Formats: sequence, structure tokens, C-alpha cells
Amino acid sequence: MKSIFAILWKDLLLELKTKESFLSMLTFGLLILVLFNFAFEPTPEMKRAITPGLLWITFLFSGILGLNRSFSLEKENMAIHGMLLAPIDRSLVFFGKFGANLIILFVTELCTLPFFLLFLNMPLFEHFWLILGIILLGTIGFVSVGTLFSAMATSTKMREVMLPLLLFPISTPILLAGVACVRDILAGEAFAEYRHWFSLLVAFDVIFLVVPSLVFEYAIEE
Amino acid sequence: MIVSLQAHHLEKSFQNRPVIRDISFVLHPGEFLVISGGNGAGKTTLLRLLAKLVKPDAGTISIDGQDIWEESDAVRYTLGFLSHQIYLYDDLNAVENLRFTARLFGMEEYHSRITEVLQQLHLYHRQYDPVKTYSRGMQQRLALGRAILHDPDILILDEPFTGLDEAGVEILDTLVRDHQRQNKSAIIVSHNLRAGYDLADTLYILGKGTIAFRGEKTQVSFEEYHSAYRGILESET
Repeated sequence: MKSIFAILWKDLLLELKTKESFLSMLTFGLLILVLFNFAFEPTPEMKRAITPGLLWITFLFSGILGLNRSFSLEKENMAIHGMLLAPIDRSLVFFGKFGANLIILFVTELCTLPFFLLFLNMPLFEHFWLILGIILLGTIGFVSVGTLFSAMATSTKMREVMLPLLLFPISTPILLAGVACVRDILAGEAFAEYRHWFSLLVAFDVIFLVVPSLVFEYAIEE
Repeated sequence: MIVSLQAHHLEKSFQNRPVIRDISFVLHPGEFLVISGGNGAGKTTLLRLLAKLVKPDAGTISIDGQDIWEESDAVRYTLGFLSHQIYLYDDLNAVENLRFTARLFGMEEYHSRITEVLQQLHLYHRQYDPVKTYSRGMQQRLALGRAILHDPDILILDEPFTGLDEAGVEILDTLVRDHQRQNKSAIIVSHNLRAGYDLADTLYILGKGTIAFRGEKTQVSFEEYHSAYRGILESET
């Protein structure tokens, strides 16, 4: 556990010093929102219909920026080898990187949420904790598989292109379940209505946490 | 703790091009092995195999009889590796970089050790400056600090003199001699034949992925070593 926290804290410290991931993700997320708002001038009905989808698309697209950065900073001076030389299981490296990516993306999402209230009149505070829980669950699955693919894509020449090409198709179940859960929560539906989507989200979180931790060793092998 | 390392019939290819071919040797406790050779001879790949950064296609590497790929990761405690690259984070300062390494290696009381290493490397006065503000030589010294922080039994140094000024070479020399006095071992790759010869107990020259020359320093003069090196380089071109 100490190794996981060491890696997690190192990544957070780097982010606190540079703020590169947070600022780029936040700016990109806000740009998507603003551009969408001006391009379509959505009516109140349209806003209600598209808010859940736009919420997740904003988070996924801005999340890609942070995930790309996560392993590119390890490639500077090949610092990742410094970690691989340590007497720790390589799955611990995965969990450390995953934890840091999760915190950075989740904080960015929290900072983006008020703008959904501002631009789309999203009734955020009526179901705040429920929506926050769903966002956290979706982010866990997305970041977990994203951390794995980020490690794989870093070794390729076109890593900025490769990561979304690998990550978006496999994240589709999370996107679908996340959108459906948020849509039903905003519509005031009972939990029974979206329980199967919620179960799908949890199931994919478990799969996306277990499988990457098992194959991470091969993803970073040269 | 006295540690020996054994490499047994190592083979490694990249994209079907053999880089390491049937290399076997034993590094005894307290022995300093210096490896030289031309560009592309396989020196760096051999060190990366020994440091467990790259897996061999065939053959085994064992430390005190324990296969480094079969046994637990604990075997890495015994190794300290300095590469061409510094393996440090530019935006972190020296203390933060070394603290991160110390935590990964499970060191408990690392504050005094970090201070000691920074003083040995003459970097104590710059300990809170980001690594990106260091000169190449200072970065190389800090990278050496990262490699020796956990006091390994076997040092693996790839071109340790790169980027060092005269004072830096002296600091490195002092650290390596200290390591030798503790009856610990080292494998050093160096293009600087004279500096390598002075440090060595055993001398290898790699050519085309194999050990083309082996000699004990007590039995090989520098001139003979230099001549063998030139001969192997000429045979490759």
C-alpha cells in the first residue's frame, strides 16, 4: 500500500506544481459546453434531453487529455524505469497511477459541474449526491481502463491519436450506463427504473479494475 | 551481505536482430567488472537485462542463486542502476525525487540517508531546486544518488562519466571506491578505457553481442586491453 501511495502522491505533487492536466482538462470541458451552447441554442426540452449525454462526453473527452499526460511525463527522462527498478509488483504501479488519474479527473469534473447548471439549467442540486455517485462510478471504470491504454499508447509514435482510438470503443458500456443513470435520476425516476444500468456500471468497474491490474505488466514491457 | 550475480547463456533480439548472443559470466562479491565495446555491441541491452528492465529471450540471471525473473521482486533491493537516462522528474526537486525512490524501496528512515547522499554528491545546497534547473552534470550526479540511495550490493552503471566535469568525476570515483571498500560489486559500462581500466578487477569487451575479450586486470596491461579493444572495433567495421 505504501508504494501505491508513494506513486499517487508523486503524481499529485507533479500536478500541483504544474497544473497541466487540470487546467487543460477544465478548459477543454468548458469549451465543449460553451461551443455546444452557442452552436445549437438548445430549447429547455432539448437541454433536458441532451444534458446527460453531453455531461459524459465532456468528461470523457477532457479525461483523454489527462490520461495522455499521465504516462507522457513518465517518458520524460524515462522516469518510469525508476519505478520499475523498485522491488514492488508492477500492478502496484498501475494502482498508484490509477488513483492519481482518478483524483485529478474527478476534481476536474466537480469544477465543471456548476457550468452545466449555468449553461444547461441542469437541476444539479436536487439530486447532487446521486449524480456525484454515478459520475464517480463511471469515472472509476473509464480511468482504470484509460490508465492501462495510456501506458500502452505511450510506447507508440502516435500516442495522442492511439489513446482515444483504443479507449473510446471499450468505454462505450460505461458511457451508455452513465448516461442512462443520469438521465433517469434527472427525470426523478425511482432506483428500480435504472437499477440494471447501475448494475452494468458497477460490473464494468469491477472488470475494468481487475483486468488492467493483471495485464499492466505486459503493457509496460518493452 | 555478500552477493554474487550469475548470467547464464543470455540471448536477446529486437525485431529478429540478435543484440545479445550467448553471454555467460559470474560476478563475484566485491568484484568490479568493466565492460567496453563499440556502438551497438549490446552493452546497454546487457545492463538492462541485468537490471530486470528487459526480459531475456533465453538464458537466466540469478543473484545468490535466485533467478531474478522467477523469484520475488525483493531481488531488486540488491541492485542499483544508473542508466543513460536519469530516471528523474524534472518538475520535482532533488529531495522529492529521492524521497519518492526511498518510499518505493520501502526505506523507513530515509531523511538522514537523503541528506547524506546529497552531501556526498555536493548537491545539498540545491536540494530544493527543481531538477530541470540543474546542469547535465548535476542531473547525472543526482541520478547516481537515486541509484545508490538504498545502498545496493551490486551497482550497475551505464556510462557513469557522461556529462560530468572534473569535480563530478572525482565525486563519482569517491563513491565507487567507497562501494568497493565495502566488498560490494559493480558492473560498469564505459567508453573511457583509462577510467574503466583503473576501476576494474575484470575487463570485458563486447563485440556483436558476445564477450569478445575477457581479462583480469592483474594479468592484462592497459596497452594490451587498448589493443584488444581496437582490434575488436576494426574487425566489426
